[in-house]
Amino acid sequence: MRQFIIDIYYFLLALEPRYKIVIILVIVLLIFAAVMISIVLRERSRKNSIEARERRIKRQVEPIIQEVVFTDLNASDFKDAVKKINRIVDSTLYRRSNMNILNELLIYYHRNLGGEAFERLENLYREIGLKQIALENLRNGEWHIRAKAINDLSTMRMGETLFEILQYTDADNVHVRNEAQYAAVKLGGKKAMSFLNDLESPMSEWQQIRLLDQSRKFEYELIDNIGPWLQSKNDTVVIFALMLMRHLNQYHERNQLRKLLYHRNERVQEKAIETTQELAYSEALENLYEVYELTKNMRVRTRILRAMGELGGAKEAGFLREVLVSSKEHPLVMEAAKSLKRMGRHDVLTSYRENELSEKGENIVKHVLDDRI
Amino acid sequence: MIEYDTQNSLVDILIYIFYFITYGYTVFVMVSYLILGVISVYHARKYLRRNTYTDYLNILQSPEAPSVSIIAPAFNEEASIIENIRSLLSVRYPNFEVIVVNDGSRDRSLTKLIEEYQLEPVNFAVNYQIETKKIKNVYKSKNPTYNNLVVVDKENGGKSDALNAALNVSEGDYTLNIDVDCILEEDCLLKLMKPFLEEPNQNMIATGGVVRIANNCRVEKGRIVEVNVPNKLLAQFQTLEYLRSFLLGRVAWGSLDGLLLISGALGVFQKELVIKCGGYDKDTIGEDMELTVRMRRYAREKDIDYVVGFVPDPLCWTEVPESWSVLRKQRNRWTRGAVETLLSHKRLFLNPFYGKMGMISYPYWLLFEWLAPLIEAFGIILLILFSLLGVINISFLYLFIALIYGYTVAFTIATLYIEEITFFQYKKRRQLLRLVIAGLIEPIIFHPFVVYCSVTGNWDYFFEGKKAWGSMKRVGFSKPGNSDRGKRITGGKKSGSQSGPVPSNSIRTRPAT
Repeated sequence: MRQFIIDIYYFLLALEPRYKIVIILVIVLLIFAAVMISIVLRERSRKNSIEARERRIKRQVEPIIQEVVFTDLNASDFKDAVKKINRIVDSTLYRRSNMNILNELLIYYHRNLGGEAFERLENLYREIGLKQIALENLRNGEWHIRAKAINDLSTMRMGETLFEILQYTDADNVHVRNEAQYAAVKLGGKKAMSFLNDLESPMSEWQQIRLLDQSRKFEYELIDNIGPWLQSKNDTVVIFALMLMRHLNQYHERNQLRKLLYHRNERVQEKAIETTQELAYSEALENLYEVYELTKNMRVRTRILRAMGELGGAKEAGFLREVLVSSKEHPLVMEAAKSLKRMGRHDVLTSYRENELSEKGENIVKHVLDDRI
Repeated sequence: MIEYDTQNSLVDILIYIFYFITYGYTVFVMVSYLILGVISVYHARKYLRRNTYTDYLNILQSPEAPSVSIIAPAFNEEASIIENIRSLLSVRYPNFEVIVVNDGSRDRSLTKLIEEYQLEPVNFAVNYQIETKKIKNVYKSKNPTYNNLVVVDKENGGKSDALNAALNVSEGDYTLNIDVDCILEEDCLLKLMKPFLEEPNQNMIATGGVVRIANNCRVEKGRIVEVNVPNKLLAQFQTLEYLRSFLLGRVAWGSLDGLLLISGALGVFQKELVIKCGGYDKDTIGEDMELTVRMRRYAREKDIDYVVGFVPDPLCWTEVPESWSVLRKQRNRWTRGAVETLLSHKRLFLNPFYGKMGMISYPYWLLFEWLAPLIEAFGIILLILFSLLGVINISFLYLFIALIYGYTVAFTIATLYIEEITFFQYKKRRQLLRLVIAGLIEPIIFHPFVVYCSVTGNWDYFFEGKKAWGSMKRVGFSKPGNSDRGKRITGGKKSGSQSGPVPSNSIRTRPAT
């Protein structure tokens, strides 16, 4: 064998440099492939052992969690349960990983439970030390660990951590920031939404949807800050405030809403029109006529026609009929016809259908009058 | 003092140039794949980290979720259309409609749909924003359970025409265009819509997602419940190819905002922009790539700020050919489609006005997707010729081939490792080993075949003038009469008669790097 290696060595030594390079590269690549295969297989074994450990810990811990959650344990029994869980977690060398398994298990239970069980689970979360770990993770250098920690704390409703979380609502990292804003609304309710007062970074639509979903769980109450938010320089805050107005029936600040119908950002305009419609703010109809004339944006115009169908009376029916007859834009004609139908003005539609010579117009009226669509 | 040899003959010079081009090009390709691989791993991990705690419940309950029209063109799909539509209707999303376009099928596709979903014609006023073949009828269901299903029956006009007809009918702000025979993951739409909603400073115009191979996977009620490696070696090769292409290639291009192709099998588009661009081009074979390039070009020319995204999650499962002849026709068609698109947008080439698309993506596609197989085939022929003539060193040639083989195998194994640490779909150890073995054989059998198909595709495009679709008859994921419980996908028996320009909608996804 030794002689063989020596022979190969001398053989390689005698070769031209380019041969040497290619041979070395081939050997390196083949070794790399072999090493990668072994890494893949080892990774597979590692995963299997983690899964096995996860199953084992769950099997041992779950009955204790269920006992804590579903029975009214006294203080000493509760302490015993916590001790038992800690013993199980400490029973292997992988304490950190075991705590992660436990964390996910408690979060899973929390998502699927309510009432008293909720509170017991939250206590357990604190006592086991998971809350402390999450707080430590808030100071971790990796953004995803910080974001996950905030998410865990909000899911487990650790209200006492709100002030720490609020520090991150305008964080540089977008994911940390988003989680912190969501947690703030979840844990602190409408008061914690004050971060919107001076929020400079834009909020994504996704984030607005999340915050709105959380806000819809508030009990009905006037939100005083909506006024400043509607005047924010950050357009995404304005849009979000309009969504809040609409979904939480915030009727005050209607004057501000009227001004937003003329906003330079067409997305804001659209939302303002939708809000006007939802809040049945018929005093703004005159403004809607003006905006209709001022804008060229088809979506904004379509929204205005829809709002007129909801809010309007005889005058608006006349306007919609005018659009129906004179407009060449299919979406406008369709929306005008739909609005007339919503107003119960079938007479206008049928007379239009009888008098209108174009096939297109007739088709649109047929479409609108067909209740199956 | 150095003495220069000035006695080199013309043949020597030509051989040096040949060496330089062949070896230099190969090394360049290898390095570029390596760079793309590294970028992909970084972004796939970032994506996973970002989404470990994502709760889709917020958007599922939200009245503010943007509306989406799922568009599925169908041509002679009677074998699988009922199950596949059911799968589309059960997608988790709060605000969507499913538009199935029956593009003049000659089988019982429409009749089956009418019977199964209790359809009846309605007075639908179609807004012909894009010109299409005549729409005969628009159907809606009498059953309120299916009130978000719209079936459009139209004269045959090909896949692009069917997609355009659906755009004319759709009411959503976004369209998800899919192949009717694909199986979608339940959260597919939520995951594909997320990039549109989560970037406040970017105007996302399209996103694509990872398409995986469904052969031999177990399907229950229109959902993949068990992922398996295909039984047939040919499908295993394609599994590796798709993994490399989607997991390493497209994820990287997506993160660099350099994607030129959103697969026809799975892609969400901003509808308004698609219509402004004029919809799908009816005269092209590769309509998905063509539209993506045209949308990007339009946005740039109109000075619209935009990005095209890519979701690294496996979201869609499709059946791949298990016969060499069907695969040959498919690859031939993909080549023609890519050539056509690249040539029709040749203005982009190294044009700084188009930014990354003009300076990086387009030249990359041109050099490494279109020309690579041609250069490879040309190089092999010349190498054989030169070695027969004794003008090149045959032992170095063998070594170089060994290098390419080693690189390909190493790259494939690295892809499997990345799959293992990211999305981990193939859970059985034996299946993993099968893929490793396929990876060892693939460069010897499959790769030369793909090169051959690509060369014939170019030949057919330039010399035979073939610019139409062939027809592909599909058996589907289940044979008629079988229950879909626990069935396995078998690859489908497909006939590929290419007699004349028979329109078809059976587009496959194109796993180019």
